[in-house]
Amino acid sequence: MEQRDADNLSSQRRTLSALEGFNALVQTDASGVHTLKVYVDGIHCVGCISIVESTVQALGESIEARLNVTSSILSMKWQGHATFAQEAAQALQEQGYSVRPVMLESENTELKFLILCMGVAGFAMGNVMLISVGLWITDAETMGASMRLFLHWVSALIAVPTLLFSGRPFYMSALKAISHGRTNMDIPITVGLFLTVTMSFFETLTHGEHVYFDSAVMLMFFLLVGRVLDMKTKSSANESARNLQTLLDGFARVVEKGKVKSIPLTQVKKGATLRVPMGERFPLDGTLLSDAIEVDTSIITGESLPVSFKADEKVYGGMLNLGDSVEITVTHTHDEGALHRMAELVSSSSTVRSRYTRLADKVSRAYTPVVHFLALLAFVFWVGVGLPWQQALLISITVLIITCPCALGLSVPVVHVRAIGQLMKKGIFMKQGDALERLAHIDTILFDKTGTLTVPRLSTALCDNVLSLLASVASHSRHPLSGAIVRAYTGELQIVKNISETAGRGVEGVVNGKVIKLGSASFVGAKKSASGMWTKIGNDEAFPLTFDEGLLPNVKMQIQILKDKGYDVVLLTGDYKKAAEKISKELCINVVYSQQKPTDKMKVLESYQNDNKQVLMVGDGLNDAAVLTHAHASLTPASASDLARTQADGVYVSEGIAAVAETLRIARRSQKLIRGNIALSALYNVVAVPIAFAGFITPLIAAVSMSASSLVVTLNALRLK
Amino acid sequence: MDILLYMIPIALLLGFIAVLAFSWALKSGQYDDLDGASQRVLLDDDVEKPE
Repeated sequence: MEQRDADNLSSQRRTLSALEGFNALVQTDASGVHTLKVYVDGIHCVGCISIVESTVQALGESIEARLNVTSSILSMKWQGHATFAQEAAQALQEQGYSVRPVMLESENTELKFLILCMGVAGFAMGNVMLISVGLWITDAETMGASMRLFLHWVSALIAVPTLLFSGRPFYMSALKAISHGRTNMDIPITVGLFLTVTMSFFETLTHGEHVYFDSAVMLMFFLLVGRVLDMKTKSSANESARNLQTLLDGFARVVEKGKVKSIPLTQVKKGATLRVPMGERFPLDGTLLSDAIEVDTSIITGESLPVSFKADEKVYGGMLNLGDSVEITVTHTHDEGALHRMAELVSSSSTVRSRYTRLADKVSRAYTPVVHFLALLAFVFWVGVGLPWQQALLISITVLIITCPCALGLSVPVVHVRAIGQLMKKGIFMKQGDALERLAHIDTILFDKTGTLTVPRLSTALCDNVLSLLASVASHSRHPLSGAIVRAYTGELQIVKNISETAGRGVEGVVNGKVIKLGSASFVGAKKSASGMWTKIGNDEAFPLTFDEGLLPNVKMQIQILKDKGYDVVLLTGDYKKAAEKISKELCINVVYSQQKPTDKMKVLESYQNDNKQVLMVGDGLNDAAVLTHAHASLTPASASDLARTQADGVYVSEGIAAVAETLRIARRSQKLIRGNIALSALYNVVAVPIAFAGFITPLIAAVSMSASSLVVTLNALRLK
Repeated sequence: MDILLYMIPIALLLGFIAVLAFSWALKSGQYDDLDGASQRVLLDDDVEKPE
């Protein structure tokens, strides 16, 4: 008992000394107001908001605390002592939230800019439409030519500034493409928008009828909505890559001349000695100075079972120390460390995906020069025939507008929206439409093992009574091994009281008056100090539980289906050779890479990509994140780590890998429909362009033919099932 | 129809004010935490109950 109290006391001191570092991060302005921003881990629900904010506010008067749920950043503002930072961090940790310093905070200015452009375009669209409805329902004779002119001028007043303000994302992207000697869909959009508005403006000046301010503003608004949604997905992915680096405390305990000092990670030099207490992550890469009994290596290898390390063996930053406090010698500084490199790989922008040319862009590459050439030809022709140049210009601009990227611009997104909707019904959530294009070209599939194909399985034989007790307690824990215990029991769970879980150590609870403990040997109070998971029921002797791995349902059949369809199936795992080979034999997978660290996995991926293979990665761990990001396309189960989920193109809910074959099928089918749509819009242009070229287009014909073409491609997309 | 000469400028003015209000809201950080805003409505206000 005394021993335990002493342990508690020393653990409190330890945390206090670690939190001292926060005091140094406080910023103070001239009037003595202190501010500090910290990451708070474990924000899940609305309750967390009020607990976190009121915990900090309860520490004193006039303390402002505001939690941003999206980024998990708590902003605090107070007067008085700067050391309040440490108190606040301490109070939050006592509530069960771990607190980390904000190392890299970037304001997402690009997203804000897009939202602003979209908002302005939206307001403008509403107002222009208000006037356009008046223009559409009647004609110049009824309302009078002067009233029509007035309404045209008002539309111009709204549309022209909006075009200049909200169209900037397209203009910038188009300019960038031109300056790099490329073309993209933004070039015809920019040209189309400008010409439409310019022509409408001159028509208004000359009291004409070809005024299309409304179409220009509406097209711009819809395109901007798409851009904003796209940007939101991307920025949330980057956010979690940044979070990966702050997975570590942000501080390391450096042992110097017998004293322990807490200093920021970025300042730790090579060769320094660090102390890593039980239940904390190794802050940096290093070699062990003494044996570490149990280390959770899942962040690097993806394996859920703890591994024991000997002195002089290498440990990587991010691994979790489950055993007693150990010391390491730092071998790599923060910037060179494995975790930092992993985060860099994930957030690096030169991925295959960013180099991938979308089908729409490929089409625009052919389409842009042809259309612009036709328009020029129309102008030259009509001037040559002897028409005044203003009228010839009007015809040539009509040619551009009638071929305006409406149907073509729609032909890809409508199919994507339909396909994504169909996949969603099957429990597969795709984040981006282009992922479907990339998925359609896949020929090689890399599978991670643990969590994707297999799950841990309880191999200790237990009687139902005992199993029921253990499963009831384990159901309160999110640890993968707890999940294995819960899966092993099929009966009804019992009510557990006084449940408490210590991260990295174990979980305990009271069932029918008996204290049930599940966790490491020291946690349950076993006499031997051994690795693995132990349990203690009431006052009985503690005993160990053993686990092996079992295949998820139907995995074998699904692998066979994929192989029959001609995909190359490869197993890529961080686990030991023996375990990997056992599973690959069972599944008849011939190509196996085992003991692969995240950087090794990347090398395997690159070797496939160098052979011009189109690779689909299916994996769930933090260690797969880089490959998920860089593969041609990627899928991850819903049970995966946060980072894997944000980096993958798609997340599937179902157990097993049935989703992989289904996603590939829909992707191929949607690709066919997209080609059909592009053919349809080309056909539309073949019909409409000669009419425009001949100068027969009136505003009515233009409106009808444009909506008809859009309708046809939309209906075609609905054929996807 | 002369009423339109008043109504349209008024409509435009209102629209313009709305755009200004929107850009102010965006700049003052009201779009920074869209997830939090949707959950905060569920929180109780700190109003003391009358005895």
